[in-house]
Amino acid sequence: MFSLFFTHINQKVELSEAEQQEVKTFFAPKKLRKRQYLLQEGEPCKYLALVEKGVLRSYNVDSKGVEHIIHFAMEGWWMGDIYSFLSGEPSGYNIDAIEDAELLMITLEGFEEMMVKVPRMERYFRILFQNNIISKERRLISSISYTAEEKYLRLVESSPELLQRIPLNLVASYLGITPETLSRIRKKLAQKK
Amino acid sequence: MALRQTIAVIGASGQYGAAIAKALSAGAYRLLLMDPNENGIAALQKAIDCEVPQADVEQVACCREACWEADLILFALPFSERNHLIAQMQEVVTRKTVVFLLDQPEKNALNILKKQLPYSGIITIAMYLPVSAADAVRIGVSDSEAGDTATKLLHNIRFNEIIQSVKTIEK
Repeated sequence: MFSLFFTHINQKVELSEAEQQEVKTFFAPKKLRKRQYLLQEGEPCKYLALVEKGVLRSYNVDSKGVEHIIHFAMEGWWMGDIYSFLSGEPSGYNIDAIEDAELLMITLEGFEEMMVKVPRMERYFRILFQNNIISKERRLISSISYTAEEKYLRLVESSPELLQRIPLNLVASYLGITPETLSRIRKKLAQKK
Repeated sequence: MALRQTIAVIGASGQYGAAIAKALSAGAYRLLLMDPNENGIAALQKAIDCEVPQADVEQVACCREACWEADLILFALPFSERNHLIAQMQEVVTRKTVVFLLDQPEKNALNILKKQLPYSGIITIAMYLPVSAADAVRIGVSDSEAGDTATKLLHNIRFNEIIQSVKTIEK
């Protein structure tokens, strides 16, 4: 249940067996069915979740009812609304499962306690948050300066597995383009090959 | 719209388990029904489907699977049958609330359960005492957060009224 979790953590910090046992006690294992919510807009985000199996998405819905995907998370990735998680404010996002999922979830209280008891986890999360900032900046640059085709090609390069598992309409939403545009791009790229 | 809490009722085909499962099925919960008596649970599901067609209810054969998916676990089997099921659920109920309905007096039940599930929030409810007994006597709580979660749930489903009606039928 925790194998992927510790593989992921041990890539950044090395935890002893005793530390791993301690860390386990802070996480609630949870299964989520496809289309089931982990978080709904207007509710505070009570958990940060590591995906052990399956794929989650976070998205918001605009005033016209159109969904805009913010993130995907598959095995070994974290999911949550960090602002809402830390502040306790209602979230502006929804998070649900695109595939049946297995998660390891931690509350803010557990998170703070874990940092005190296992200081190496503080280093782990610092590295994680640094990477998250970089990834968000790249996504921002991509959305304001790249063409639709460039955005798609970057996604193909960075997350090929994700593209195999996610329906194209969701990929289009993530890239901020229409499904028709994505379809045209894919057709054009296929013809080039 | 609030998130649907997933509740596993272990021992759902017993008198109390079934009564509570029926009450929960009318609320905004996703219910997972588990009981070693599979015939009893199939009959319960049928009854719920009939009485509350919009209910989100599913039978689960394995205790561990039900507890893994659940946010809160309600254990309604006789206390003496708990050990092998606790061994199954132990790994998947960390940081979750587990409510035990005690069918008979058991010295130090709360402490015994806290030792068996040290990382879960444990609630015990002495079903053998009269419903009118003070809550402080009837309900044992291992931590305040679990206590708040369980109290809210029990209040929502009018727990005392359910138990009272089951006890009346028993008489």
